[in-house]
Amino acid sequence: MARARANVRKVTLVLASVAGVSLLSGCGVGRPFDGSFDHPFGLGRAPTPQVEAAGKLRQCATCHGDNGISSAQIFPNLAGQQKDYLVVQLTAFRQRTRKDRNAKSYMWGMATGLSDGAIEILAADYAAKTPAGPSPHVKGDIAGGKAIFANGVAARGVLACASCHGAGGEGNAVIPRLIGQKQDYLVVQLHAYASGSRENAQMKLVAKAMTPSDIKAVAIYLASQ
Amino acid sequence: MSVADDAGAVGWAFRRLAVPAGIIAGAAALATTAITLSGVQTTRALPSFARQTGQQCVACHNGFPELTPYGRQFKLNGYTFSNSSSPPIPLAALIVDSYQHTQKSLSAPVAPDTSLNDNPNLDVVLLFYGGRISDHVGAYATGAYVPLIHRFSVGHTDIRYANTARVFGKDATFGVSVNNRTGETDPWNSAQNGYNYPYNTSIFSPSPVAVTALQGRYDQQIIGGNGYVSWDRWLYAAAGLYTGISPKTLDAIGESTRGLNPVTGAAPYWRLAVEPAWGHSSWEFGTFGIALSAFPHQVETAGTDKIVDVGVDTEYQYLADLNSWSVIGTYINEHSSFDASKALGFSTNAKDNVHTFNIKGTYTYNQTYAVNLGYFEDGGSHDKALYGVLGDATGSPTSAGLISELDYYPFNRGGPDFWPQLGLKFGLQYVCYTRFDGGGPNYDGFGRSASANNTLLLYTWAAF
Repeated sequence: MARARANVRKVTLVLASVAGVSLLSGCGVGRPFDGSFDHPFGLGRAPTPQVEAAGKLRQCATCHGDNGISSAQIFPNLAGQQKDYLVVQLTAFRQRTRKDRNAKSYMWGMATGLSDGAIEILAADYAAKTPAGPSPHVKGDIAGGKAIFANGVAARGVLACASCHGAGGEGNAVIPRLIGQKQDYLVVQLHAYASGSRENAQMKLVAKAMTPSDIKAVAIYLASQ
Repeated sequence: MSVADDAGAVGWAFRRLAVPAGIIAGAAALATTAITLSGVQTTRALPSFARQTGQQCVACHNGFPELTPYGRQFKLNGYTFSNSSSPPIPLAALIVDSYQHTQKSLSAPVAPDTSLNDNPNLDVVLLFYGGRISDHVGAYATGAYVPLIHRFSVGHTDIRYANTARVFGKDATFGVSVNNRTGETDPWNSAQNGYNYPYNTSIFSPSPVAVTALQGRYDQQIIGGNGYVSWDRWLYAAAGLYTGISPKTLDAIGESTRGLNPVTGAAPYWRLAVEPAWGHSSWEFGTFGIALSAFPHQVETAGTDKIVDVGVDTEYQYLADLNSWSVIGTYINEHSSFDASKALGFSTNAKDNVHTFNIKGTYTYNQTYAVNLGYFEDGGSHDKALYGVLGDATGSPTSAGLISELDYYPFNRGGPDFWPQLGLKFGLQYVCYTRFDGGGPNYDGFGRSASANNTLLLYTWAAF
């Protein structure tokens, strides 16, 4: 009898805990109260772009860092990136027109269902963050990379990166900031442009003309700055 | 949990059984029967998560079930990440089947209608609710059907609330969970929560007797909760309290009560870990433990045994576009005060110690092919009564061996067009024992050697 009562108590405790956490989430604990209540199971209420973006930022930060500077080489830094570029890319992920491998693995899902308003907010948020500073520990052919970035390789028809991305590599509008970007990310993207898995006619011409050592040198230079 | 841990859990259960000497020869084989009775579990990657996030397996897994840093964040956030405000109900299923060959056949079959060796088997069908319940509540709940014994049981289950806050200027993720095994909420793949290598083992081959409480001895036999916080993505702390589920309730939810040692009172569990990350790397160092009291073999007249586990673990990952590496190691030390067991004759000593160590390295190419090499070593005090009943004639829990495995994941970067969230894994595993239950040439007293248990296992996981 005592055991039966103990079991009832245990089951009640579990059910109460589940009900408790469900209610907590339904009431939107953890964000400023905006006068409305979520459906207990999160259904039926379309979030505002601000709420949508705030929720999504939590997910973005898991790879791209709280401050927009990622801790892993395979994920790009977003801090200080051009806002227009971010809008175009997020839209391309959402529409599944950017098809390089990690875009498919991570970003297609991440961007599915994002509203235009939320994309604007996310892009503006990352554009306003302070870009990554120089990385003195990056070693390699920095001088060679800088030469390719600034002047291209005339003999192979490699255009100077700086001609579009700016002398400082900070980008402009839909042309991305490159300076301070992750080395591996840049290498993977240039190979993706060359193979056509990431589609961009201009970048395909440039990347196909580059040798693997050109690509590595440019990436090292940009990552070191 | 991995089947290996279940095997250990069952081994523990068998320590408490007064098996007549005449059937000791078959005890190792019988132990594997009880594995199935206690509910076979395997670790996994869930297509319901992929459907909810729209992401591919590789986003969260470095060869499933090992988690990537992003996968750990997904788990810490209570399985709530989603690309829609009203995602589908996150249901999934996993089918595991295998073919086993052990160097020397068993002396008795594991279950009726099975062979002494070379068994093809449909190991388990698992059903999941895996994903979001609301913005901040998610669940990972399993039910297991084991065809070999025609039994359905409630598997390990984790229902949690998670949220984020700014603490000392940094992001913190915190949560509370109700669950039925210690370490269930832990985001790393170390031996203290069952999400560890090898992720599958044969239920038709004998397993070493040494196993600690945290390696699954009480999985699904306890209920409790824990709170945790992950600060700035590198500092992690968790604390919880568990208690035993009564044999009657266990029976009602399909769990085996055979050899059960019910946990009584509150069992505190704790965990602390740091995980620096840089470049391609992340490197976790952690420690954990539990203290519990249990009635030996459901006998309450002699009081309880007191068991304390303390362990350390480390997990290093190097994740790059094509070539990824990881090393995971765990050491767990268990001290037991067997006052009750000794009084009842279930153990020879009043105090015993057992420790387990395991380490594995994995190389993964393009998240499609993987080579794994693992080493394990168990040891501890001799106890004739405790281990002898399991067919360990030496009374020693010492075992050691190598576990190598080749894996092929054809759909880790997305399944076929008609079924993008299909998850498949093919594994070819070889377990090689250098010592088994204290002895090399004759550990069971019937001439069976450690190497006789070397086992080749071919298995597939199909998740959808």
